[in-house]
Amino acid sequence: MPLVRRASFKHGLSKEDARDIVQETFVLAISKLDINGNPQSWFIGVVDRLAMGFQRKRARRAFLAARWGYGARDIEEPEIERGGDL
Amino acid sequence: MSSSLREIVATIPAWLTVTGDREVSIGLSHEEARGRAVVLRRLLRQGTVQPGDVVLDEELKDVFYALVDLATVEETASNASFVAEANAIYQFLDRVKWLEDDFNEKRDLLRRLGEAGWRALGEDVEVLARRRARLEDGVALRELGDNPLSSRSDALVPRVASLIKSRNFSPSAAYSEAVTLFSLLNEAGPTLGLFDERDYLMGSVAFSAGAAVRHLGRLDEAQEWFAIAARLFSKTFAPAPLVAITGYGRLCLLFERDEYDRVLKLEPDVRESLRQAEMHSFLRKCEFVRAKSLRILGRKPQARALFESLRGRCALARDHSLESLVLICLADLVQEEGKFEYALELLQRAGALQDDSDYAFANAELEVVLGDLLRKQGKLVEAISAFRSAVAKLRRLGMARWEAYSRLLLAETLLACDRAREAETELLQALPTMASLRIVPEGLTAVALLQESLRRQKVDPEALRAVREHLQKHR
Repeated sequence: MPLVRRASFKHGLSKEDARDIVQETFVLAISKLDINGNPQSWFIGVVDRLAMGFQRKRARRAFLAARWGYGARDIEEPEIERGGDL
Repeated sequence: MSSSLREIVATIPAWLTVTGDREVSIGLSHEEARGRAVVLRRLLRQGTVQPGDVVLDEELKDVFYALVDLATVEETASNASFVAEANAIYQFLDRVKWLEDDFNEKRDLLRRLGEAGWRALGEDVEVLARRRARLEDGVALRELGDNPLSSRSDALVPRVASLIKSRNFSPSAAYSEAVTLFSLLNEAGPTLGLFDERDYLMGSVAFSAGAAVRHLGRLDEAQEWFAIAARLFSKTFAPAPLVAITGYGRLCLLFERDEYDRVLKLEPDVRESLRQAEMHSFLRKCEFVRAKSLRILGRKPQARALFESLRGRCALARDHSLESLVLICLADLVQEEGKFEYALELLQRAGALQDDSDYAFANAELEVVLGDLLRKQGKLVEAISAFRSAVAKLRRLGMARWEAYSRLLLAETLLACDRAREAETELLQALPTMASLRIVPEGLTAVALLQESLRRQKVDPEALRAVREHLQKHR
């Protein structure tokens, strides 16, 4: 919940989007979290980065939708990061 | 890491498995939280809700976030009513007990409110943060209509400022004043001052208490006071420079505990945090501790180079008190090389600087080094005079460790003058202090030999020299 609140109130996301961000954080934690380090800082850092990335993506979609006259759902961004086909 | 956070981390795979099939609570929506925050705000204005009335759960935390959002959005109103309300919300949130706060949510909310409040008061928050970090900020508490504690705070704030600034306090007097002030500030209650002022004042006083009691050799107590200071400072809106100062305090404790390798290992991080906070005065002090550690570890060329560099920077910054201490250390180093005339020049310069500063310990330290110099030059009568003066000053200051060391030097010099009875008197005063402070290892044979020789009323000069050299190494 603290992380959901952070993603939601600090980054202006809806609670549902914030929950998705936090869930993605926990997925990353399985492989990347060093339990002997500072887990608190790690979780906060990853939530912040994922939330900011989500915000940027949302802003790009809104820009494209406004430019091309489509609704947000109709815009599919290229799967560049995941190496998908363009 | 708290046990609750460990449990969370340990069960990550199980949590992910579970969420596939069921709804996980995400608390209130923004709209719900805002609606309840509006109600809470009205209740706070009416004074009909107290911190003890709330039972904090996840939904109420959402409401608190929304409440702070509401309050800080109106920051641009820049009027007394906003400041008063924001301060009231601050005091309310501060007094609500937050259990299981692994992510420091309460602290972050309070910092947001505090920063917004200071901006609304027309403060440049960066300038305010820098002023506070010098620990000489005579914080002028703002009047908010009828503040029943204002008269107490008007009396307390100058005392806090005086404690922090003055070097005329002996460590024991400074500690006594710090403890008294801490208690008074605590009793004044959470309504003292605006936003984080009380935490800042109490943190400053706690840091002063730690610094004072460190000089008295009570290192465990000093550690506790520095921990209290760090906890209070971390609640202020710009904690980094203040927490860096407590890092410097802890570095000094490592030095006092003779953990010189750890000092050298940790000092760069402390120095970097002070540099980032632009805390130049404490940065120089940090390097001074490093230089002394290098010297004690036998790395004298590096120590000397750092002392010389510090000397120049202290002179440029007109930091007379630290410059005089640096000169004294340099004098002590060069006299070991037999450069007595140069050492005397450095001590004279250090003495001249002390006329401008009121740093009482530096006076005594200068006399100890001067006495040692005179002793090596064969000027035993003058050396005895310097040591006696230093012993008297250190006794008044309550600095028992230094007093014991000075008495050993004095005893050795008296023995060299065939004044054995007087030497025994000094040793009879020094040895119990050394035992109670545990500044000499119990297995040090020389101490036993010295005690035995005292019992036989014939001081063993070799044993005395061995004990004195042990203490000198760790000065």
